[in-house]
Amino acid sequence: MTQTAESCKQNETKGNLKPSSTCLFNIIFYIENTASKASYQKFLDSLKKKFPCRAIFIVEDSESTADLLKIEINGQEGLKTSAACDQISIDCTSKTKDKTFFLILSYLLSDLPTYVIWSQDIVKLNPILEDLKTIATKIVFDPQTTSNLKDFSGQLIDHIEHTSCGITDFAWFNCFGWRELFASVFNTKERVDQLFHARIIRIKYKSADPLSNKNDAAAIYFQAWLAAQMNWKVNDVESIEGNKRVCYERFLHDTIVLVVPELSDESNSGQITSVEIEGQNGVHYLLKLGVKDPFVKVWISDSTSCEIPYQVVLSVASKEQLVIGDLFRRGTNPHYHNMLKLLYQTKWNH
Amino acid sequence: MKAPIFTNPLEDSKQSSKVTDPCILVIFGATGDLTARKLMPALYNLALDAQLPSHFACVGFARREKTNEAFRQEMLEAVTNFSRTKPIDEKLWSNFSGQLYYHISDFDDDAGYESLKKTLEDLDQKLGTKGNRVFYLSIQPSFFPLVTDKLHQHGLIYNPKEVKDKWSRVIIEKPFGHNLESSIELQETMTKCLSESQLFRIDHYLGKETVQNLLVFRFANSIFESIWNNRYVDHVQITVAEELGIGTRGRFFEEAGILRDIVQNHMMQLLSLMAMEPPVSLNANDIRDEKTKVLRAIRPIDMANFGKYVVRGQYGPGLIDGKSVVGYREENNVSPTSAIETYVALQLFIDNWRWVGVPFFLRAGKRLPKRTTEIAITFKNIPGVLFQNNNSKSENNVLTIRIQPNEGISLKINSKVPGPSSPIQPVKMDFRYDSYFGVSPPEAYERLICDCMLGESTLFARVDEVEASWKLFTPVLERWAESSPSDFPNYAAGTWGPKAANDLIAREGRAWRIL
Repeated sequence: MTQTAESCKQNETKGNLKPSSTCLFNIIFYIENTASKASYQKFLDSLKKKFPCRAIFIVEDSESTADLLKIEINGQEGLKTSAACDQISIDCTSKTKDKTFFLILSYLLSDLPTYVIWSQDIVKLNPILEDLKTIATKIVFDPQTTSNLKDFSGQLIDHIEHTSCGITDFAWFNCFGWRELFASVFNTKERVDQLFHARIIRIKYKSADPLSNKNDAAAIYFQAWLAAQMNWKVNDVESIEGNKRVCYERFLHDTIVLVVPELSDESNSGQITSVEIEGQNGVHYLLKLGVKDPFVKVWISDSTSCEIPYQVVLSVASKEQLVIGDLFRRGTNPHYHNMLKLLYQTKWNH
Repeated sequence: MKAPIFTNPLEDSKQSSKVTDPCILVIFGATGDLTARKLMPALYNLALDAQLPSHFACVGFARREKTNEAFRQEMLEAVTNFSRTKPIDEKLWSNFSGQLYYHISDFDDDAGYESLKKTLEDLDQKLGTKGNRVFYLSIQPSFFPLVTDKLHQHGLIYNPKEVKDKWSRVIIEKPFGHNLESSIELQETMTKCLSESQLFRIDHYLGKETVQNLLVFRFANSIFESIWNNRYVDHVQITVAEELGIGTRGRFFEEAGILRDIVQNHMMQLLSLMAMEPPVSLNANDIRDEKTKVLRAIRPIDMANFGKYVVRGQYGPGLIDGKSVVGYREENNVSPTSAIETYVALQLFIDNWRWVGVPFFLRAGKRLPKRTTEIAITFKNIPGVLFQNNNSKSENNVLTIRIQPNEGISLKINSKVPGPSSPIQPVKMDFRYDSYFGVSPPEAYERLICDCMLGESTLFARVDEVEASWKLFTPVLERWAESSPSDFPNYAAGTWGPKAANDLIAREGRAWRIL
């Protein structure tokens, strides 16, 4: 360990390291390969513009067994303010990754929350995660890293129930706008009852590859959240040519949820575009996102009347604002926990 | 038996924004400055943040001839110039502007109110706004009774005891009367037409993030409560300083003066939030109860020693930012012999267990060297046992809450200077909003308009707060009215006020902070 620390010092490149004069939190990114670092770096750069923080990137080259452990430290001036935001990058391999935790400890700013962005598949056990849980205020996972949503949810539930730190994930953030929208549209007992007795719910989302089920995480999460809050029980899930059909069992009749991809370009993949609800007695809701704008148009009708359609702005909070909103919130969101329990009930072939 | 309260299973109470009911906002005086500079930009930013109700319309009510389109165009210019977020989102504006309408009428025209009623009912049908109304009276206070009465007469304000399926609210801006008697009279007139719960008195200071943070700072941090009292606090200074003069408000200012314009309302809000006891809950009335208790505990000013506790001033010509500026009496629409004060300094005492014996020094002025609003709490010095020689004399700790600009909180502490001898130097622990939170915070009016639509009255002044404040300051105004000041103007623009203000605080062995 001493030799490793000494070799790290030799490799250490000191940029303009300054102690952070203002810093709201520590944020640690654990990334499996260098290729994905760019997107997280972009996310971090936009986050730092509004929320100064100390960032630590740990990039593990899992295909290498070299005895490599490298640290690079950069002090960066905040763009608008005089805050200094440090970034520390640690490169390691599968052989040296166990040592990274000890390096991180010396760089954390005390008395501040520490958030961990874990971009590895949680189903693959990694001892570093257990170490990070001991210092993390909250850990953010990424369901895009897994192909097994059931086991993924199970692991998250296990973490929630056996860890004091909060747990959340990116797909949860991504369906925030639609969750808020639903809460505002279904805001009376009457409407919630209509939703509860829905027969068919059709959720469409954008996908660059509609046949593959990729990018459906936000849509799956959204319908699972809805079902969990409505106390529906999963009966069956079928996947047919990229579409998912979920059958929720209820007392008198089942509710069928269809998750349907729509072809679109890569940049918006995953975004939910519409939710349609067919209920009892001709009740019909359609919430549809505009093609190029953040408005959702809402149509509500039943067998005897039709409400005046209206537009609402889908929450236009940026990704970093959504993430921060959830990160700053203590503990694990109970809605999220309920949703995971529902996801764990069955295979999603994700 | 009361119906059980509906809990929406879809609402995440800790994260979801509260849902505002569909409603129409009617702005009286829509062609005025406040609408252009504050109200319309606030509405636009609420729309941008998805905080406006799903069914919403805004109707401007004014005398000038204008079409809906012309009004929308003017509001676009106003929002382009004054919105805190730029550039303007064209798609959002296109949708939002479709919800803006203009209604031409005089304030006393019955036919105008009837046609307004018809317009609003048509909009309810077209937009689904369900009959809910907010009437924002952005007009001279002398018109409040007239407009409210007309609204009531024409059934535009509902009686909440009789009408349960829709609501109506009225927002008024300060001043709420010009002395205690007129304030009571205004209240009696207004409450013939609506209930206290329907009346929302805006003091825009309460909408500022830094003012709202006062409650969080005091009551979400355990360390301060035990020292927030007369055992540890030496004195408190509250300053509202402006470098601007009265601008185009000469006519208004000649009727008001700074005591009415700033001290009686904004400064009393700052004082009450700073000095109040912890409320039993964050419910509007519990907070306002505590604020009113503070105001009622302020010792009436001793008229026998009036000059010892109250100083007034008026700026003469001077220099601001190196440029010559005229004196108050040379401003537009100001009498050349005006006796109106543009500066006030006061010493107050709060006679309760927490604050007895602690002087509160307040000063407010126009054409002072810089714009700054702050609350500074100076703590008592340490016992004279240690660190008392010249090289190492300690200074009093000072906690400063900067309301604007450079919003934040700082604590002055004493620190040893590195080196073999032991000089002590004051240093500052500083929290600045702009360093920590790079997002531009919502403007005060955004929060206040949204809260009114939600029916949330915490950030609005209650009648007893207003009357307690008038009760304190009406005798001061009456004393001033008895005789014209012989020394006006008594401070040069660009200085920190008249010498008498320095004498006021020096008499107590303290000095005004250099800001």
